[in-house]
Amino acid sequence: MRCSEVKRLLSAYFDGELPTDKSIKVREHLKSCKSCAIELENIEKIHRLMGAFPILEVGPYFESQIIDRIEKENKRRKFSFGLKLTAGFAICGLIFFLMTFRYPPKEDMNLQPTPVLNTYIQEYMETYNGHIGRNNPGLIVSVSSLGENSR
Amino acid sequence: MKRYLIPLSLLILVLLIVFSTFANERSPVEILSDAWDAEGKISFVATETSGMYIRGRLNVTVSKVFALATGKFRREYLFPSFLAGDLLIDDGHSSYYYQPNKGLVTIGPSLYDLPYRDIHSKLLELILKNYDVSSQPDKFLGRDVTKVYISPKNSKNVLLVFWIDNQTNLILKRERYSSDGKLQEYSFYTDIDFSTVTNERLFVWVKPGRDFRILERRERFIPLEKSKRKDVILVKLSPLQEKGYECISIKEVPGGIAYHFSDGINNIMFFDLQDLPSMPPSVRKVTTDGIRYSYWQFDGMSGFAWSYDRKNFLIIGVVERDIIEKIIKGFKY
Repeated sequence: MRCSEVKRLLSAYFDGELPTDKSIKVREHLKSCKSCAIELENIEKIHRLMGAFPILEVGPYFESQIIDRIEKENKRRKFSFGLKLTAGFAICGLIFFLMTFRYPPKEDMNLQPTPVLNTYIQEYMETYNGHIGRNNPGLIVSVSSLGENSR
Repeated sequence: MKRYLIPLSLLILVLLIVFSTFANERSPVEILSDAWDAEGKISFVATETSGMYIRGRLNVTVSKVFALATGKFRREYLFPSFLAGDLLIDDGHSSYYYQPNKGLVTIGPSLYDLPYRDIHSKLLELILKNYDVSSQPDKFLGRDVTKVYISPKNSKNVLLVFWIDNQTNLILKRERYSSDGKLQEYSFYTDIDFSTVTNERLFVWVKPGRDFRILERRERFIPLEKSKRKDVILVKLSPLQEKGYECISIKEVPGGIAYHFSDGINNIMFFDLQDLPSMPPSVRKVTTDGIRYSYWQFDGMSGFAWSYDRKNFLIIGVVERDIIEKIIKGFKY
């Protein structure tokens, strides 16, 4: 048997769970392989150590106390997450404010763009044109290049 | 007694004929009033040619027009080439101006909206107040028409001429002249047909595809009386009122309010604005009574812009500079 295969079976060998044929093969390998023998010794040590621990008896309200503690822990985590989220938003808001804020904000005072002169000339033209053909917007379009220079 | 009976009867008959003849004859103002009132009430199909001189250049449009007596109108542009394909539809509620080349539809109030009719009647009042109206019979497109002339009081210079169809009251031709007698704009119908009634479907607005931008211009001029505004600004514009102008309507425009002043023929737009637009390169800066104003002129049309007491004002119209300077000074006191 190869060492890798033996090491994989060692824990089951120690617990006496291997079939007889495989158990004989492992035993034979351990006799000739020092490394695998050491590995088995380590397993034995761990088991001995585990046997030295006293068996703990849990109290009658152990389970409910555990659930209670888990719930409290979850609430604390939730609060912590909310706090972090708020702080995150506050920081983003501050960064956005610092990026967009300009002083003096003269250009931003009027949120709507200032209409060009042409807008007002067209308003006049439509009135001026009232006698000739209010229903002829194309005529106004054709002469509306009048205010183009003001753009 | 018997011998007087026959001549007396003849005299009464003659008087009746003369009276009935004159009773049927409408005054020039009545003819003009009836013509404006007939707008949107006559069904016809025609070709319309319009022209306007701007900066010495004549801008002409030719279009096929369809009108229904139910206040519906359709205009298909044929010329110039950049307007060909443009279409105006008025369904009696709203007007829709399609500009396929620009991918744009402009929606506005109907051309036959009641406020416009009110404004027309106000204009007629002002024409009567400030101008002389005369008429004479004429022929146009082989039809009997009345040619109505409007000229300043005590002046022979004609400013407006209308050719009004005697049978339908439709204005078949219009011409407008400057105070120095130059033709400024005109429009006339040809190939007019009153017998063909256009299918109603041609006046139905069909919403175009998503690639069209829709611009809604719902703001409209409303008569001053109906606006219930008693603005301080109107008092400041008394120099215009002294010249026979009256504020006949008000409209909200982008960035402010527009006041439409008219003397019946000439129109002036006064804008009270949040911000002044940029002025054309030809602008000149002038100072009057410590107030600096911008002034520009294209052909007869002038523009004046100034700021005072954190307010911005713009005037556009065919108007003399001295009147505007009086207005600008008036804002100071």
